Amino acid sequence: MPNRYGFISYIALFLLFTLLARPVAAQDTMTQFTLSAPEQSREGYFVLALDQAPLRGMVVQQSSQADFIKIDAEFVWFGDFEKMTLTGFSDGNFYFRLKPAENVQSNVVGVTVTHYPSWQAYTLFFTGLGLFILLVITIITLHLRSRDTKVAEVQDD
Amino acid sequence: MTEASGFALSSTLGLTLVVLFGLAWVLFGWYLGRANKTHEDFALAGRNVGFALASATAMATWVTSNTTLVAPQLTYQFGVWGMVGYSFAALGLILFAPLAARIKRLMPNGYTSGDFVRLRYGQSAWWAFILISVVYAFGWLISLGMAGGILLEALSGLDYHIGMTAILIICVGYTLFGGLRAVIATDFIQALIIILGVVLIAWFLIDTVSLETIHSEVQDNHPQLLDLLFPAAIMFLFNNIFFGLGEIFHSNVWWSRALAFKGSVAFKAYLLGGVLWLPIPIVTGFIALAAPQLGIFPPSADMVGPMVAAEVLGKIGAVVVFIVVFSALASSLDSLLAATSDLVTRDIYHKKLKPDAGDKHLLRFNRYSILGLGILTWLFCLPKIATLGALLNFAGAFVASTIFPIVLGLYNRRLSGRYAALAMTLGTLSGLAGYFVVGFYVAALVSCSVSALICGLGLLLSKHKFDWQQLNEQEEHSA
Repeated sequence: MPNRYGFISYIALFLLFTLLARPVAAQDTMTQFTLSAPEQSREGYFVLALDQAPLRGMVVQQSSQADFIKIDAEFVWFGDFEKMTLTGFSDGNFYFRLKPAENVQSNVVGVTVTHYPSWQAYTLFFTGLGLFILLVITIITLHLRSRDTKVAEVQDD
Repeated sequence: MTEASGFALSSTLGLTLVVLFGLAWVLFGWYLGRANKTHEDFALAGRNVGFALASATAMATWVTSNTTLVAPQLTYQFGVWGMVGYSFAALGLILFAPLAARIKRLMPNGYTSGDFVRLRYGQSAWWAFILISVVYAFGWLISLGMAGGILLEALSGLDYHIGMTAILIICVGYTLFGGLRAVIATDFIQALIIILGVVLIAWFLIDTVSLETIHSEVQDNHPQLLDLLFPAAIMFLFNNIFFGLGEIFHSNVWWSRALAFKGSVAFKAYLLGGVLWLPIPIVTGFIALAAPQLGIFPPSADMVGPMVAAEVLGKIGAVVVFIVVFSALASSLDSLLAATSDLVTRDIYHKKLKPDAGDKHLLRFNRYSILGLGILTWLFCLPKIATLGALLNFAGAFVASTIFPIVLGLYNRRLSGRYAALAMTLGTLSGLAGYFVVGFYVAALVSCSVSALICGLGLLLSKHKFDWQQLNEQEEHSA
């Protein structure tokens, strides 16, 4: 005859393990991803990165609000890559997360896009343009001047 | 896309293509290399390259990872300006046309760009120039090796290191056997493949994804890409032009071709090569604008071109993309290996270390140099240190400082070696400061501006008068 207390203890332990095991098993099917991104971008493009390989069909949501009340855009994660390059953003704050699903969860990351000021861009543009015109004029003038001279005559250039 | 992996090609097919492609090029290089009897044959293809081959090699060498991978990358990052701005790099070939004719006339028996700088400006400028050339050559070699790895990874998911190793082995192989003769001949075939392939891909893309849908998707979700006043793109525009000019004006890749071309072919060949090259970045860059519409957001911006093409064209398209991009990479990698090994053999080994070396000795050393450069490049490529665009533009800080010293050195007697050395050194340092403080898209512009300013001062202040006959250096041996 088995010990009654021992038998009850075994049954209780068995039930305890089973009950404890259920939430753990459920948690196994849920993958928690950690999303990372640069805090700032000055060019309007940046890379979102995952801490592990993505699942098929995963979607990234974009919003201008950290609480994602309104979703502005969705991007399907491409292939098996752990990174995704997003581009073409105007000035503003942008928040990203993985679209919550039964088996997927992630943190929220924010990226602030602040493009270079116009004066800086135009200064460089017109400096470049001026320098380029100078170079082209120099090459054309010097080449035309030397075109018909023989090497010996080049002394007079 | 294959169901299992999400990639356009299976890794087995990717590897098979690499092996078949590699064997074909290496055997062709070996076949052509049988005609090489002297070091001059090996390094300068006997100085007898005609117009058709000359134009094709100018165009094909300039179609590289820059055009097939970086043009789509910059379009994906900077939008319309990235695409148009990139095509302006053709100005490098076009403006080099008169310089090439002048080089051929001033130095009919010259070997390298380093030869010119040493004879025209002296030792201090030569050291600055060689440092710039070596940094640039390795920057470009590494970017090409990396591009091979990125290409295979994007198309077949094959590990980056396998693709990178494969393209290096193939290009080192046929350059080793065939020298510049093989490089120019393979460039001709590669140029035909590139033009046909790029046209085919663009045609399929426009047929599959209409221009209207691409435009509305980009306008709604990526508006900055269509903004013609995009600040970073405006800053990038002239930087890219000066980078391209610096690359071509200083690099022995282009000088060795100018010296290898027959008679007065150089001017016409570079002009035609530039005009043929001009539309290619527009086509390859346009491909990137379709990425958002197709739901393609690449892990790294430099993978966007092949990924879009493979998505649109399927498996056969992916094979076409592979052949086109691999041809583009090979046509540049082989040229750079050949030109840089010439520079090492001629400028460093022959002129500095072993002036009495005979022809056979130099030929043998040139081959060792190619092998050594290949191994070094492979080691540098092992860690994937930056995106291709960023890596290439780092070299922009160096090469743009050589533009004015080279142009003025070829035509004007007054610029002295001291000012040329100062222009290259301070130009490079300022460009690097711009690279790290502002970004990669200002490095070449800052470098060229500072260098131009110093050259201008040099012309005003220097009383130097160079004797052009000094460029016709007599060889110390003929064995």
